[in-house]
Amino acid sequence: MPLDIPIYVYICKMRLSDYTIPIEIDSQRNKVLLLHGYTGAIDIVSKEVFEAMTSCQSLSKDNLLTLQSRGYITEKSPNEEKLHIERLANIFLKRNRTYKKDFTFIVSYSCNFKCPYCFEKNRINKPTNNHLQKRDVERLFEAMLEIEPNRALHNDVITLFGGEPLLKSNLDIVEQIVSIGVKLNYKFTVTTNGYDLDSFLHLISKDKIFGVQITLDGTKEIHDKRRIHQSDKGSFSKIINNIKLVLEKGGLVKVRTNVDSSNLLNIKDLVSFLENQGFLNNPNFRLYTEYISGEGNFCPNEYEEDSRTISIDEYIKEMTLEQITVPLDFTLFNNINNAITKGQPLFLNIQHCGANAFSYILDPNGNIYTCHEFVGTNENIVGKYKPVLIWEKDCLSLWHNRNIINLQ
Amino acid sequence: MKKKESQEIKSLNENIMTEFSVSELEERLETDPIAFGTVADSAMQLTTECFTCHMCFTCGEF
Repeated sequence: MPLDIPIYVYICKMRLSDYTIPIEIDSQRNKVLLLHGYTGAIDIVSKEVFEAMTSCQSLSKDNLLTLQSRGYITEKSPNEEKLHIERLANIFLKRNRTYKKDFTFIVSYSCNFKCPYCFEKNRINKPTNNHLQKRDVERLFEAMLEIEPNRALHNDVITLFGGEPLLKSNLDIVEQIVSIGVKLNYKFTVTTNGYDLDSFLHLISKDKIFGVQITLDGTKEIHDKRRIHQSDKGSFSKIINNIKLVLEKGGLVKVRTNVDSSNLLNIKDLVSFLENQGFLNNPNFRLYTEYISGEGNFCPNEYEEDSRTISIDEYIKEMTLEQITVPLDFTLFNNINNAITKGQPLFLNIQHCGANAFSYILDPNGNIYTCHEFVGTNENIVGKYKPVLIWEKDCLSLWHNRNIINLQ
Repeated sequence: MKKKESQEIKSLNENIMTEFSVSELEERLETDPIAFGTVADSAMQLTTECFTCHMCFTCGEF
């Protein structure tokens, strides 16, 4: 505070920031949790301090200075705060565009599973142009350099995606992709159902395919009802064995569990099972869950329509039980939880994710997308990479320019 | 009374976005934009456990 301004005059210039977010704490009714939308501060204050904040004159000098330094009260007018947000937006937009570009190859739109909740259900296993051809593999790598000419601005890790990228029938294509990629100093991760993974073990190494993400939706009985192989009666046992084989080779395994009403209460049993297998103690093994019920359900007309949907609160509560704590793929929760439990700054952003800034997904049909959840849809093609690179500028702009300033 | 009241604000995190850090970030973007690397680099040390960062936050590091 400037020393030459009497405190009563100084206080009168202060106001509660429009970006102060107060939250009641169920277990501590005499306290309030405060978050600030553009400083990223998180604090717990007494109810008395919170009530005094609405009239800055009631605050002690120490509290006034602390709350001001955290952003909760401010000298800025409402318009000045809006201008500050626009300044931050420009900075974060610039920052996001400097991040290294992430590339994903859709190896195949075919899949050997028929999971009822699949978000790609209506786009996979079509008869034509379903998987990459050998003649297209070199074009993929050429296109990457046309999309981002500076090789130093490429993420060195390329993701293989599908459909199912690791089908036995695609072995030679995957071998070719990895072979060319490694020569160009890339390495790979794969998102896979894990069923045919044993046919690809020779590609698992630190400098080739170093990590895999595999879905396990519960213990055997539950998983086999949800992760349905096209012809095999069950997939669980084979996948568990393949996980062991990848870990034995030193590969990284990230297991994802899709959670809804039919397996919510089975997750703790799955955690016990994985612990008994020795996976949880393995530093190369990670587990996380994804909420696919309610608003997370990609097939609301076909899946879980007759079952009770679970709320986000129920999901978070079950995943954070004392006996088990399973990481959630829930951006807002993780961001705030890390700030509270680890003292980290809130990660501030003006765009939702990499799809708005630096993610490029190339499919077998020559199409480019930015978001994995919309691959195979015509309306989200942001460009084509073969025979030459052409951008669908309107669609690309919709994705890349979407931020909090222009949200309707 | 003042001492009691001064204990009634508990900050849970540090390194927040102050005016100074905003200006620093602006300057860095002008002078050395490529140094930002990946999303994960700017927030933490990237490890191979992260695979490739799609800002999915599953790692719990964000």
